[in-house]
Amino acid sequence: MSVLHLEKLNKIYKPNTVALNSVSFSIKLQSITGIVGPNGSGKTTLLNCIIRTIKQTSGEIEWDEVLDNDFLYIPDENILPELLTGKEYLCFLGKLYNKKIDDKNIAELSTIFSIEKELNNTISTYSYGMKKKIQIIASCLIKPGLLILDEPFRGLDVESIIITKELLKGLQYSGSSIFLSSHDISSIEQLCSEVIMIKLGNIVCNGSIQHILDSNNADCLEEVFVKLFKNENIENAQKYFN
Amino acid sequence: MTNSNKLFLASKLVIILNYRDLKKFIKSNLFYLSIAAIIGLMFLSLSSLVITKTLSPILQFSFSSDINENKYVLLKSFGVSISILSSISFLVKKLICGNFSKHTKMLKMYGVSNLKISIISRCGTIVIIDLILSILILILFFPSIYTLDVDFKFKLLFVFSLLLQSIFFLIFLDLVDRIIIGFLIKIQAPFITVFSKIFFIVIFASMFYCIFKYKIIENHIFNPSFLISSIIFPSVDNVSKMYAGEIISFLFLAIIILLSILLNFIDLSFEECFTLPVILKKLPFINGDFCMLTKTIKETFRNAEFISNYIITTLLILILYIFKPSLYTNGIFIYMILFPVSTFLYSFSYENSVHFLYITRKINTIKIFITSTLSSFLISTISIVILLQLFVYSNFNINYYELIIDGFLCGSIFILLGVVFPINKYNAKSSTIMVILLILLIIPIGIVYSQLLTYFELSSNVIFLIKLICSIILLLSGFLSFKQKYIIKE
Repeated sequence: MSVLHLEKLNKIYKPNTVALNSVSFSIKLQSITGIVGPNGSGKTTLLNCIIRTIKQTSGEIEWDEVLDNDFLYIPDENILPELLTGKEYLCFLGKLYNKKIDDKNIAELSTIFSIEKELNNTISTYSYGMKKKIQIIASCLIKPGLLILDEPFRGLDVESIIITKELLKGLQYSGSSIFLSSHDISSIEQLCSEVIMIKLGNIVCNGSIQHILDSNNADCLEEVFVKLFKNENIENAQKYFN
Repeated sequence: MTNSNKLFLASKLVIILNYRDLKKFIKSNLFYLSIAAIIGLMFLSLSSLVITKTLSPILQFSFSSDINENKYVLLKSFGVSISILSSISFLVKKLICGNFSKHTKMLKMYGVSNLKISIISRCGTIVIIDLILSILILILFFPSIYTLDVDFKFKLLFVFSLLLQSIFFLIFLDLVDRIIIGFLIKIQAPFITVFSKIFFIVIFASMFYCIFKYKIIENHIFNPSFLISSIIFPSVDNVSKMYAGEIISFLFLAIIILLSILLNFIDLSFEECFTLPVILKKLPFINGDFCMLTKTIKETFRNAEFISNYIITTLLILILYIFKPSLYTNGIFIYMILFPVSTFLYSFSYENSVHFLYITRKINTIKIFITSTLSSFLISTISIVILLQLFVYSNFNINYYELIIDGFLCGSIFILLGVVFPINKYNAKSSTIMVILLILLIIPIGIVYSQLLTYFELSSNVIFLIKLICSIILLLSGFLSFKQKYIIKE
């Protein structure tokens, strides 16, 4: 059963830049799906089409009826209401999503991320990493039907990356489906059950990790990436100092 | 690389970055900017017509007579008007843009010295404001000077003296501003952004009080255009007095410019070590989509710009109340509502950070607009009611109907402006455009409005109705612009 299905999605920016070319895939219920691709491959355009901030040129985005209004998007840019405190932002999200946010849960999660002291300060005083942590805490409190994350690990320290992965796994077990975009291919490999690789707006491979590794005769996703993207720049970089 | 090369390279970099930013901004706001330009030009032309019609006979009379004293007095009054125009412009810039400079940090990272950064930013600010002022001066005053039956060289010299006066006054105000900031940094004061504004306004108000009370501006000091007057009018009665005035004027001018140059050597950049207290922490969020209302209220009361503008309003009212109680007719209350209502200029920028949430939650645009507008009206009303408490035990008869409709009208104007060019400290372009718009629109609209009132002699009921209709049209335009700006992009 899928929570989101994309059918032949096209996005052409004026005058004729093809950002997405007939993209089709599904996100399964209670799965963690990752999308990987180089810069300019169309990942962010795809996410923007899904969250409705831009309109696709053609194609369909079909939502599970129950989930249509129950998804949370965590953008890569740390745009947050700077004049609210971290705690207030979490409460605001709770009210917006009609979910009861318990003070006890806020305290527990902020302790896990070691930001309990900063929670009552305005977000304008937060560092980049702290803003990311608040966003991850928000997704754990809201427990949306579908959680969409753009570069969730960027700006986080090693400990926080591990914590984030654990929390995302926990969210999955508690019933959420997760769709994330990241350049951190090893984290995607560890966390995701399904992976989509995208290049210049085209999906080059899609499926479970094992299926992708087997079909490309590779030991890890990085190897698949090098094989599929046949990137001369990588080869040139390997030769540069030799 | 030589030092001068480095300065030019840094200036070039800042100009390129600003040019690109501006180009992008104009491209994405072309429609709104075109409309603003058309309205601005319309009001500027109308006020130019009004001024030409009123001034031309006086100017012609003064210049056709052989008495140089008349021309001299005229130049004085022009100098005073230009000084007031420059002060209003600098004040609008100070209140809206605060002290943030986008490229300062970047230039520091590249190792550009404080002196160079200071010179670049000073020149930038003064050039921009002076360009706007030049447009104002040329459109408002040049037609009346141009129609005069005098030598063309003289006309050019006359306009040049006005421009010189505006440049001088801007340098002077900038110097006052920098001395205040330097002082606050030196004493390690908290909340420099807020206090620098408050100190500036207090010094600015007292300075203007002294200038007008003791007629300083009419006696050479503060008025370098008098230096040019010696070229224009070589023989005026009471020559010795005038020469003495010129020497004082020249000395004063030299001191101001020297101090302004010297101050560039001092690093006046600062990082706020203190943050404003978190106000309304305990205010609970309303359930459902209207939690946006609580959010905007909390954000407004924590906005340093709003807080400082509000304190300034209260201080100005108190200063005027103590020193000039005769000013308190009904008209003065319009200034009282202007600052609290300025919250509308900021309120729509708060939504940018959570706009994607509203889209994902499929919240209706009208709901977002109404909530933002409602919260701003609520905040303005509370702020004005608090200010009115200052007059509870006074003898002033406040016309509440007029106060309400003026508040509603100002609010509607600021809603439209706030939707189109939302202000926040991360959006310097929008703030700059807002400063330009306010300077170019407020003065001509004021001139045309007062002229219309005297020309048509309308009853207060008709004025009330016209203001109400205008407010509704402005609110609707605000909503349509909001819908257009926040619609899902193709």
